[in-house]
Amino acid sequence: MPDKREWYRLDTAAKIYPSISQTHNNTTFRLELELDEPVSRENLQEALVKVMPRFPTFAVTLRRGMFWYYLEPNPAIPVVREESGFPCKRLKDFINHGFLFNIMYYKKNVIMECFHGLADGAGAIEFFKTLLYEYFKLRGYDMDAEGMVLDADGKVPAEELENSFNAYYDAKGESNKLRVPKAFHIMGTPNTDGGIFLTHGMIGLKEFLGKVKEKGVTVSAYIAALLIACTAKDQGLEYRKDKHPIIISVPMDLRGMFPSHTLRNFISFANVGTVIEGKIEFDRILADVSAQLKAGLSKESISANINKNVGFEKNPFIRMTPLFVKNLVVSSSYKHFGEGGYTMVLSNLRTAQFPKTMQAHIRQVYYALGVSDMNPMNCVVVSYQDKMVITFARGIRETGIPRRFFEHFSKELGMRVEIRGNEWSGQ
Amino acid sequence: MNYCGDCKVYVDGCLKDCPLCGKRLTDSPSENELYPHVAKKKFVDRKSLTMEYLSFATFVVICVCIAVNLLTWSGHPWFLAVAAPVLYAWVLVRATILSDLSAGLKAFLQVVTLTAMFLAFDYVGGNGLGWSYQVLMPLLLAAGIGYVDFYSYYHKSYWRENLLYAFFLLLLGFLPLILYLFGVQIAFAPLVLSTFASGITVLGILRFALRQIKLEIQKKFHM
Repeated sequence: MPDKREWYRLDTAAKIYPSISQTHNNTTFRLELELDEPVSRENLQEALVKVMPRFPTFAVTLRRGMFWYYLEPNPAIPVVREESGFPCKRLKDFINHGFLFNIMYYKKNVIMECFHGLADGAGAIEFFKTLLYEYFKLRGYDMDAEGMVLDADGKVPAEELENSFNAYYDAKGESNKLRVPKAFHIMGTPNTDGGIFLTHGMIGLKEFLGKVKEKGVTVSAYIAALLIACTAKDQGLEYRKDKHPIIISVPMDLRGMFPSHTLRNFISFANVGTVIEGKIEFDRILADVSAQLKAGLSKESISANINKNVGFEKNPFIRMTPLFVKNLVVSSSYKHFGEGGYTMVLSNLRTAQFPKTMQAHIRQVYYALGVSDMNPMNCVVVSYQDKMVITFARGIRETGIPRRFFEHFSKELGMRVEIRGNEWSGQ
Repeated sequence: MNYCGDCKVYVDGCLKDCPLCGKRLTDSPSENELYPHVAKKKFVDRKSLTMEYLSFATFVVICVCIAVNLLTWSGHPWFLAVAAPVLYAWVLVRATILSDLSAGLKAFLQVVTLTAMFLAFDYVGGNGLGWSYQVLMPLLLAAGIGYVDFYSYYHKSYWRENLLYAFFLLLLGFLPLILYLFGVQIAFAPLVLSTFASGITVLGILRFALRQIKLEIQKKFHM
């Protein structure tokens, strides 16, 4: 049943995205499902039209208000297109009747590219799952949702539309400080034509989980520590005087910590890192990062983060500042307080779970994030069935960091690593 | 899958070189099953290049006029008579004919820049400000308001895009009347026209679009 709201405020995390995506930042993420047969455009379009009323927060367009951007229901119909051009297109390059996401197909792949202001990965995957579920039904397959897919004909619960940051904001609670240390930033040669390289490395999930368990840490901690070690080696930080810390920003889905069912953004970030002084010792970095991650992802720290962000948004002075001033201030201050405070994002979408009837037609799941000028590389992880796919998105030509990273698995851990990715002429 | 002995990884057969170390793995790659091939941009964007040349030429022409005018100063700022139409031509071509801005903004820009250009002509003409603000300004305002009213009526789905500029024009429509009340001489017929255009638009909004306007204000001001 469609929801009849006339407009939506952007959620707390999303408030910043329209301002920073105007200039140097790419705030698009990408979900891609590889199916077992070529995609039918007609069926996908039909499925998309069917599911749109069930997801009112996706059926919107971005508008400028006097003080904030806001989302307004979009009466148009989003169009499914064959993918062309580079992955993770910037918001300004979305040509989809004003919608803030694109559904595309290419051979056997169904792709969703989504502006982060609309939803986070967990919210978008719910939309994507329902879309694919309806698509498979239109293809004539017998489907059983097993309670894992939102019903396209179902009612829209108000909790799916809520700004969960507001729901868990405590005005009197402790809040984190705004000040962040300046992080080291990766140097490199920007890609021609502004394209992004996506390099997917596939490894055995069980085998890797076994190795991680041996170390007594989490997957995110292990990969974050490895990223720090590889970045330090590749950028020669052992020998450089630059003593800025390498900081990995790890977003966390807060739905596991708070009982929220929102399909909008509900994430928080834990920044973990270390200053490289002298020899790079992976085990020391791993111990440091693991402890920092545990502390950063504690409920107290997350609550303090929510209080800081919502408190900022509710500040009367900030509320009354006209949007064009906010845009100027946010896009420049984000360089210092936002992306200036980390070297790379590491996003772990964990295991993508689908009902068995859908799994039978999905070969692999891929996930990617757009990069910014200041931090031209990021890393994302998603697991599906027996494989873990680790994806590097690069806005630079140099491949030293992903090379060292995947060589750790293939040479040091002796694991089988399969590499896939995009390429273009003139790269 | 090909194998890169240097990195010890298996590489998709569609990739000619190892994406990690760059080593050549095959000379006959298969088609990429995950991503479409993107060809290198071969064209130069001639339109934007031409615009850059033209904007530079405009800048040079105006600077030269100002410099000559100042160096041969005779108490007469004739450079305005050159700069104003050149700048107006830019607004006409770049922001009106070639742009996809909303009709409301285009109408607003036209009214403001045309008025400014005629004020400049009037001033340079040596008779002080006269016909430009006494006759042309109210006429242009009435025409602008009328255009936005009709456009919004015939293109109802675009009314939101035009709202802000229609509101500015509507306020400006009362300017001749305010000036007249403060003792500034304004031609009667143009004054009546612009005031009538603004007044009838306000009444039309109150009668037919009040609910939509209230909702729009709620959204724009986050109320």
